[in-house]
Amino acid sequence: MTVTRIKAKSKLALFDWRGLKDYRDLLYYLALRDVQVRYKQTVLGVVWVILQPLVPAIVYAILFGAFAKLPSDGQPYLLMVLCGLLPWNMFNNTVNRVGASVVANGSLISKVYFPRLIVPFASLGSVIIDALVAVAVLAVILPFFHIAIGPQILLAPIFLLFALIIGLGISLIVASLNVYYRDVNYMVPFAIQLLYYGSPVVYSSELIPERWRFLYALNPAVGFIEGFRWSVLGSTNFTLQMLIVTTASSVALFFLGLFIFRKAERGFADTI
Amino acid sequence: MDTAVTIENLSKKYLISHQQKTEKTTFRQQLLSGFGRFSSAKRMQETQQEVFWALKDVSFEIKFGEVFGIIGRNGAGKSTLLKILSRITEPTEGSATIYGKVGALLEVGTGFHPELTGRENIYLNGTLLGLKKREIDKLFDSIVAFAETEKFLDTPVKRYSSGMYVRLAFAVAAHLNPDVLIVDEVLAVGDAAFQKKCIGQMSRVARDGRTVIVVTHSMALAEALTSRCAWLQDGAVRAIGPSKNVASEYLKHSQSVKIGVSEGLDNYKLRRGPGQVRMCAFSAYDQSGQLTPVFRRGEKVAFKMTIKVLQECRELCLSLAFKLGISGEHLVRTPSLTISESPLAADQEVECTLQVDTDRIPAGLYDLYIWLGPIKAETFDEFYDILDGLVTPIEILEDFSAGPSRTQIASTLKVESIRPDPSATSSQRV
Repeated sequence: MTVTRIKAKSKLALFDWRGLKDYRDLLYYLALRDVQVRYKQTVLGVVWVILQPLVPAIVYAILFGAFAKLPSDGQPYLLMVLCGLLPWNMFNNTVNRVGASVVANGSLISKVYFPRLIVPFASLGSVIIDALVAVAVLAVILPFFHIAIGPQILLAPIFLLFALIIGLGISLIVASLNVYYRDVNYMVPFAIQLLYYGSPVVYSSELIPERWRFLYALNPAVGFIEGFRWSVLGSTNFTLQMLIVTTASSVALFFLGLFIFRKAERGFADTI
Repeated sequence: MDTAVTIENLSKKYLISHQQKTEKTTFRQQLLSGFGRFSSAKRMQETQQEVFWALKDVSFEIKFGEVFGIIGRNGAGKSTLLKILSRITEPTEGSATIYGKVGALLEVGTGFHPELTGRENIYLNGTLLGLKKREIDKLFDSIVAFAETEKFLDTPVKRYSSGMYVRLAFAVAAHLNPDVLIVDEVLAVGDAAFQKKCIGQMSRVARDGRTVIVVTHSMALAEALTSRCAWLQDGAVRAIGPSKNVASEYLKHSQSVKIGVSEGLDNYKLRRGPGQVRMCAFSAYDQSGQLTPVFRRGEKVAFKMTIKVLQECRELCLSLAFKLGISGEHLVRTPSLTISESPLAADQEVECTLQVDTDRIPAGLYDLYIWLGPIKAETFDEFYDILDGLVTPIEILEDFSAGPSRTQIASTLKVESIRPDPSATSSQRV
């Protein structure tokens, strides 16, 4: 017979596998809800997912590539931007959606018991779906540009995973803080905007003067973006330093985020 | 195994932020008003924190197969106890042990999303309540039959009538099959026939040898359903024993507390608004003119009130809502009713009577929410004076002949006098 023991200040494991496994169906239906609700009552539906990366990419290609003639590492500007936007959007969407998830699901958290980590994990569902559509768009466009695809393409998913995990780590912290301080709502978009300009999303790292590159590559987003570009387009800006920074920060941020979330979740129901 | 639930020295501490030092009773009221005020960053700066024990040293046992009631007034700690037992929140001290699978229902239709279809919501809500997809697959037909919504399975629930919505939500909940079922008085939702069905389902669960814990502030419900009760007051167990005994003790106690009338509202703390006007007296009467807090469903309630104008305001409107349950959602409200279309001057005093039909209000014990504001306020965000959770509970007793409940109720407002300038006397029927 199952016995539930409720105690003050009970110890929580960093990762409660059994709890998450017991509630995996909930994880699925919450993720499904997010995806369904996002595009219900829209006429174009999934077309929006396609337009979201495509339209900005075209605009940037015209502005920066055709008019400003910024360097693009020898690749068509449009492709370079698309390969920057794809991992960036994945990161950005993760921070936005996961970061807001706990407060958005406040009514569930204060009314039902379930492992709280289900909520942020479930909101990754729609992020992943959006990213898959963007990958499909890229796969359709690539052949038109006659790009020689190398074996490193197999590593592309790993860089997307880095984008996802770094985003998840940050957003677990954001989601936790958001419950207690709604200031976070204003701070995060601002910080993300700064990071956006500090990352080679719509321009190439080539643009950064050689002596600043070391400093520049301390930004963990640089690694997964240039890494993704390298694996798809064979871009040459990707360095070992970028790889180390992005790998190390994804591991560190993930565990830090998890730790903070687990600490904070005790007070969620009382505070939301 | 004889014991289903053991509760030992359970305590829960809340840190309550509030703006000024007030007397002790208002901490409880603040707690009742919800935690919404945390969202206002500006207010937080000028608040100070105060310790409040929502539960203090609660210990008792519930036997296997028992239908156990937890009763008490708002703020007595019922909801806190419920939330601890259902693992939504942690206790500050003490422990509880529950033997067997736990299912908790604090609300009907948790997680229902208006855009999703009935089918999709059954799965979402079911998994939220701890069911597995496989289990829902098996129960699906039975859930749909119970809810009587076969035809609308693939319609978004936002197109459902409120009755259908509640039926579907309850159907999922009724198919939970835990060893220990913890329920809030969510039962009191829906029309009479459906309520009977739910009570039937609950008794069946109990007859199967399962344990049911019902939390309610309706004595009638507790007596009808439960065999033993614990009466909570100010976070502690005041009495525990056979429901009949606890109920009579509880009623004896309530009669000594003056309910049905709220005097001295000038100092009422749970109010918001710039304060152009102030509700200063408020009381409830039945059709024969008796002051009472208890009404049979279908009866008319007459609320007599006195409103003082403190600053000139261009016009004045009133709306009253009945708040039910722990979440205190506005279950039913009157439309916004005009008291005066012409400007009111400072120092005028309005006396009016609001008559409300209770035939569409489900049985239950309600707190009142009163809104005073300008005419044509698009939302209820604009207001002069709001009294939230007026601690004058009004109990509506079930009358099984009454029709289905609605979210808007018929009401008549009669303005008796506006002094010192008694020129405007108006009345409207909605």
